[in-house]
Amino acid sequence: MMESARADDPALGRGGVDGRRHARLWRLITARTSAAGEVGAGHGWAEVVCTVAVERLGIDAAAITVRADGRTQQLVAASDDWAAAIEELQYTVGEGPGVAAFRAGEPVLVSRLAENDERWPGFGDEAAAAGVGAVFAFPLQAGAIRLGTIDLYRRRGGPLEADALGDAAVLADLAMVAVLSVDIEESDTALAGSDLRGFYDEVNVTTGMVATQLRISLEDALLRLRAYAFSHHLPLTEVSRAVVDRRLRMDTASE
Amino acid sequence: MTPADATGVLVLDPRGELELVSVDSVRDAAALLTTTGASKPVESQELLLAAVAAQVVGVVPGVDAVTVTLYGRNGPATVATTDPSTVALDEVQYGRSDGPCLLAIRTHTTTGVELRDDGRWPELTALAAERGIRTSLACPLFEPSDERSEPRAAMTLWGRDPDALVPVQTALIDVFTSAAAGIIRTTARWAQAEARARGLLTALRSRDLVTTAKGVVMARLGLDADEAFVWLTETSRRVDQRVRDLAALIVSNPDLVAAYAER
Repeated sequence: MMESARADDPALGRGGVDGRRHARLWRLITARTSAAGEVGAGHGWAEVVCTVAVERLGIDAAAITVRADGRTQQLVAASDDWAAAIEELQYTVGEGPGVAAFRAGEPVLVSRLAENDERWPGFGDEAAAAGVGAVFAFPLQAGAIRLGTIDLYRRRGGPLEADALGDAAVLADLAMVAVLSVDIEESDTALAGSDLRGFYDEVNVTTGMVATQLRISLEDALLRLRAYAFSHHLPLTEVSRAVVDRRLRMDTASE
Repeated sequence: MTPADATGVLVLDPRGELELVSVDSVRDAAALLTTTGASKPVESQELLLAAVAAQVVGVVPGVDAVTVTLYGRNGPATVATTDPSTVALDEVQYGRSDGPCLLAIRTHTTTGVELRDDGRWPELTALAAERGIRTSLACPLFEPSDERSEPRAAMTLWGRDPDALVPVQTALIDVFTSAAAGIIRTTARWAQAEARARGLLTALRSRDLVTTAKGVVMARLGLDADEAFVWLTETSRRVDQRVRDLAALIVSNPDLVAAYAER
């Protein structure tokens, strides 16, 4: 299946301890999904990965988000509303550890969030205000394809322990598998139940509306929406809903 | 080397050793894909098959060359061989859409042939004679299956001695055919998982486009969100264009909304 030439690359070597780690976490997850009768459901599976992450890694919350280039982002699973809200914050401000981990294709480990303010000025302040002490974001990647991130949140600052770090990398693999097991034909609905806050459709609608009304590019329209949401301390989805319902107009409420 | 069972496959682990791994679903393949970190499965498929083919020549008495045939999008092709000069013996069969190897694949039956002048495949026989080959044993790599995506492949053993491959040493050859089948199946599942990932991204982008277009239509025609979606689907039907394509056009040029609305 693979060449031995790059066996010195730690990311590739999955024998020994790492192989056992993988098998153990894999069993934990499959045992739960079978027990819950959720085999085959990518969405349910992803939630189990988040639950296992919270139980095993000494963190407070976890979320799995599918990301693509540009504006596309979709929350697939979150262990609680807090994680979902912080994922949405990353979407609102268009930056943060998850966004960075996805762009770089490597983990972004922030053990003390307040100290990283200059990296993500928008995200840092808001997340710290929401009680986030540390964030650890891992890309979901298979070969050449990168699909998103699993973001781990903890209220207390400080690094992820070495053992938990290993487990987290493996859980990122399992999260990728969970996302891939979603049926493509049904992925529109399967990936994000309408009950989940990850349904970011309104933001796209609003971006299209604002770009057309103001005769500006989609990127500029999204930038305006983000600026408005950020300066009013509102989630982007809430601002978008207000625009869609025509309770708010971007041109009159220019910021 | 370990024979692969029906649901197991052989993979090369990071130390370069062959290892038996169970794969019976796309999910397993996706797991395999992430755990091994393999990035070029097709390349390694050909290397691994060549390694198995070389072992057959080394281990099975009377075998002078081995070729592996796999159906791809453009029909059958030889994906591994121990002797490049025997590829022509496969290709003459592909050209005619007939021959022992294709027969073995089609009927899922091991097909042993003594290549004689009065035989069923004179062209193949003549070509083989030029290379001193007198016998062939074509072994299908996969059982009949309901699964449409199951690969179609065979391993052909070529010999100079017309009696060498008879009686067929089935048990010995099985070890290698199941190993080859495992390699091909893993690669196929790998490709499936990758296609899934790409499909997922395409689906997400489509939804982005359609929802963005919805906003453009709302702004242009003063409709609410539901009305805009209805407008999009109805217009798509009327102008016979997929919603996604229509959305892409509208997003890149909002002025088209008025043009479509008047048509």
